[in-house]
Amino acid sequence: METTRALPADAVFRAKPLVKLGTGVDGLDEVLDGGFPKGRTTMIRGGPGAGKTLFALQYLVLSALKGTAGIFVTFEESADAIRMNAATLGWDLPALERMGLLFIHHAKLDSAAVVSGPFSLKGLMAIVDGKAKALGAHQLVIDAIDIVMRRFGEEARARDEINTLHEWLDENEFTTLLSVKLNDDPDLTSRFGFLDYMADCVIRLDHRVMEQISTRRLRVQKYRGSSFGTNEYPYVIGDNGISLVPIASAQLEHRGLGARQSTGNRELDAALGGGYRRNACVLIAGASGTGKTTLAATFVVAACARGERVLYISYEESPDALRTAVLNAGVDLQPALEAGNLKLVCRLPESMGSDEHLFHNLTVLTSFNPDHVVVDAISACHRMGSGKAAFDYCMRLVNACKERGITCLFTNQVRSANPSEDLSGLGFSSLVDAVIQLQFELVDDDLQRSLLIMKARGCRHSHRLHHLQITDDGILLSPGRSPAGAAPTETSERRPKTQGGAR
Amino acid sequence: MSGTIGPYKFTLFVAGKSPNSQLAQDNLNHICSEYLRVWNCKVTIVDVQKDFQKALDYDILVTPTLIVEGPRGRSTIIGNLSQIDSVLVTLGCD
Repeated sequence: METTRALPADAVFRAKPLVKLGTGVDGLDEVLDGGFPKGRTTMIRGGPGAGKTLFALQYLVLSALKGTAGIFVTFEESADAIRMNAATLGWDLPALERMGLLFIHHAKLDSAAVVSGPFSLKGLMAIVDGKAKALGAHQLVIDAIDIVMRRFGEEARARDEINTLHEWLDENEFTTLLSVKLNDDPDLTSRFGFLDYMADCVIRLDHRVMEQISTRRLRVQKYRGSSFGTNEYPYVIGDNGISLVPIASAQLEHRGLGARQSTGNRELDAALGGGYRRNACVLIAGASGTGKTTLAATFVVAACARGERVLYISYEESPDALRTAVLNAGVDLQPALEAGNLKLVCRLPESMGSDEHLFHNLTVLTSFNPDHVVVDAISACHRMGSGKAAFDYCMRLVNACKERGITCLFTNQVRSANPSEDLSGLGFSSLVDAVIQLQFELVDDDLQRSLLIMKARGCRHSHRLHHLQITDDGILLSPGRSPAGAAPTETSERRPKTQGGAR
Repeated sequence: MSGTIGPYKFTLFVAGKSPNSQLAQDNLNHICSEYLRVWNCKVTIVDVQKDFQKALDYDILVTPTLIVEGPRGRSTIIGNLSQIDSVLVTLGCD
C-alpha cells in the first residue's frame, strides 16, 4: 500500500529558529541583536592581550550567577591562574565551582608524550560530556584552541579534528565560545582561517596602540542567519570585566534647552539674558591664565549651593591644586565637596585611551547622576591619543549629557585669540550652544582681561566686550552695554574701577 | 628481542569502539606478545566514554592514550600505537 509521503510544503525550509543567549558583556547583546547563537559555536579571535579569556569567562560567570552552569576548558592557563585572574575582578570562581555552576578543566598537553599513530580529541569530548551531564551544563568555553591544533602535526588532520569537535558540539547543542589566538598574520590566517568558516558567529577583538595609547575594538565578522552591528565597537576592560563603550546613538535623542540658571556671576547672567541654559553645552575658550577655570568654578559653587550636583573632570590639575587655585580667586569649592554635591575627577589624559576615559565618565554619570558636567580642559583631550580620539570623546560625552538633560561646561585653552578659529578646537562647534571667549589685552601697559559672548543659542545675549577682573572675592565683570536697547543692568558695588574704560 | 625487563603496567584509554581504539588494543596486544614477556604486562583498558572520571584523573585529552608504568618510570604514548618502533623506544626495549 503505497502512499505518497508528502512533506508539508515548508518542512524542508523550516529552519530551526535561531535562539539567542545573553553574552554577559554590557552593550554586546545589542550589537549581536540578542546575543550568542544558542546551541551553536561562536569564535572569539584576537591577538595577545585582547581579552579573549576574560571575554569568554565573563560569559560563563554571569550565566552562573543567574544559576546556569557552564564548563570552561583551557588549553593555556592553569585552572588556578584563571581563578586568580577572575578574583581580581571580584569573581569568586571557587564558590561557583562548589555550587556546581562552573567547572574549569585545564586540558594539559603532555609535551613529553610520544606520538605513535593517529589520535583524536575524544578524551576531551568524553570529559566535557560527562561533566556537562553531571552539572546539567549547556554552555561551554574552549579557550585557546590554537594550542591544541599545534599538537596535531599535520594541518589537514588538525582541521579534521576540530571539525569533528565542532560537529559534536553542535549535535549536543552546546552554546560554545571558542577562543583562538589569531591576529592578521597571513601565515596564521591561512592555517586557522577555516575556523572562520566553521563558526556560526565570529567576533574579532583587536588591541592596538595608536599614538602610544592603547585602544581596544570589537567587530563582529559574521553571524550566520542573524543581523548584527557591523561597526567597530570600542570596549574597555574595567573593574567589572569587559564592557562595550556606548557609541553615539543612531538617533539623536537630545533634550531641548532648559531653563536659565545662574552662572554664579550676576553680570554674566545679565549678559547672557539670564544665565546658562540647562542642558546646553557651554564652551569657555581662552588662553592660559584668562580665568577659564575660575569662571567654571564660579558656576559650580552657585549650582551646588542651589542643591544641584556637579561632576568636575579636570585634566590639568589635582584636586588640591584646583581647590587652591580657585580659592585664591575667592571661589571656595570645599562646602560643595563636603556636602557631596561636587565630585572631582582628576586624571591625566594620557593615563588611558579615550574609550576608557569615556567609559569611566559614563559610569560616573550613571552612579553620581549630576545636573552639570565640567570638563577642564577639553584641549587636553588631544593627549588621549589623537585629534580624532579627542573629538570622539568630547562628542560622545556631549551626546550622553544631552540625552540625560545635563549641562556641559567645557573649558578650552586656545593659543590665538582669533575669533574665526574653531573655538572648540576639535570641530564639534555645532554641538556647542554657547561660546564665551576670554582674552588678554594690553591697555596702557596694563594687562586686562575681557570676556566676549560669541554665541548663545536661545538667549538674547550681550555682543559687547566685558572687562573681567579676577579679585580675591571672585570674578568681577563690567556690564558692557546691553544689546538691543534692553535696560542696562544694574551696576554692582563691587564693579571694578576700570569698567569706565568700556568702549 | 630479549634484553627486556619488567614488569610493565599499561593503562590504555580508548573511546568506545572507534577504529583507532580497536587498532590501539590490537597493537598493544601484539607488542606485549611479540616483544615483551606477556606475564610481565598488566593491561587495563579504560573506555573514556564510560568512565570520564578516570580520563579526568589522568588528564586524558586525546584517545588513544597509553600510560606506561615500567622500569623507566611513567611515560605517555598517544596515538593508535601503529608506529611500533617509537613505542619500543619509549618502553626501553629498542
